[in-house]
Amino acid sequence: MTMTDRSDAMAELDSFFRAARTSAPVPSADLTARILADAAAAQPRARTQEATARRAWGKRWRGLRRLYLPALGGPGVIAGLAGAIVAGAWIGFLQPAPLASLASRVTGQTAMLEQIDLIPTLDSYLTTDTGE
Amino acid sequence: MPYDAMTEAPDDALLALYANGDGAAARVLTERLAPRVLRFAARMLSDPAEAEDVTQEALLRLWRIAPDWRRDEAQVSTWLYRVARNLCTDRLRRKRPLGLDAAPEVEDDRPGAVARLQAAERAQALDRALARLPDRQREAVVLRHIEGLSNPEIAAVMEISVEAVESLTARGKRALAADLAGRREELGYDDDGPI
Repeated sequence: MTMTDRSDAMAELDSFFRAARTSAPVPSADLTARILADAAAAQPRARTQEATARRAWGKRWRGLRRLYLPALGGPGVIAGLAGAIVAGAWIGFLQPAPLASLASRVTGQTAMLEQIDLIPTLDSYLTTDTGE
Repeated sequence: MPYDAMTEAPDDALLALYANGDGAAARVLTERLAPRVLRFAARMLSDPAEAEDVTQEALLRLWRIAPDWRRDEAQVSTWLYRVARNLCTDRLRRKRPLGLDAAPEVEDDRPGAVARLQAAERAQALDRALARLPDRQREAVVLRHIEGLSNPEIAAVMEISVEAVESLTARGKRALAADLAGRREELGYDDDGPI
């Protein structure tokens, strides 16, 4: 095949490509309907700003939980710890009578919480001898 | 966004609108992309019914990926051609194409019918010759010379280098030209001068 023959053959081929482009199949109405039905079925629901914010907070909380929970010993340990904290606070502030009397017998002290001087006065150490 | 404005919007913007609940965006994307996928699949499979199934399946995958689509990832059309190509390849592996020889003959007696008939016969002859090419050469030639993609786009679709695309299209064109050269008289394209 000479150079001219080859270029003639390629020029002819281009005419076949042009014919193929003009006689290409187009989607039928039925195919278009099927595609649009798929699109409607697969379409995500519209996202509101509120839902997006809720999802963002949920995501952050899940991230923190994933990060710190294993380090503290897991959910069981955290639940126990939280229970102990609540019980301690309840006992400390309400001072139920049976527990207060038991504590008095054990320690020999009868002082109530409000009577404890957490910041003792330093007056006795700060007195000065005036020489009188 | 109004429907008219959507027809000017790029594919990825329409996909984002669809993912945010805009149903009209799906219609515009379908009108724009389905014909291209169907043309490509029809020439790859030589079976109109299978080509329609591939088109529907490729678009369904697009709808499903829409919420996670990243703009910097790829062009929507390139991604879609790649999905269609993989679907066609799967079907070709399962079953070789029947060929367009089984397609009904074109019959048309309206004015200008001869010219249309001749063009249709040429398109059919090309489709038959394409069906005889190796799969990868056929993909490259169809994407380059019928779908009008650039070589880098075809390289992205076929996941090969640009040089490999050039080689495949060159070999494919040479084989097509040789195949069609023997059919000049049969197709009657000597009658209307140089083409």
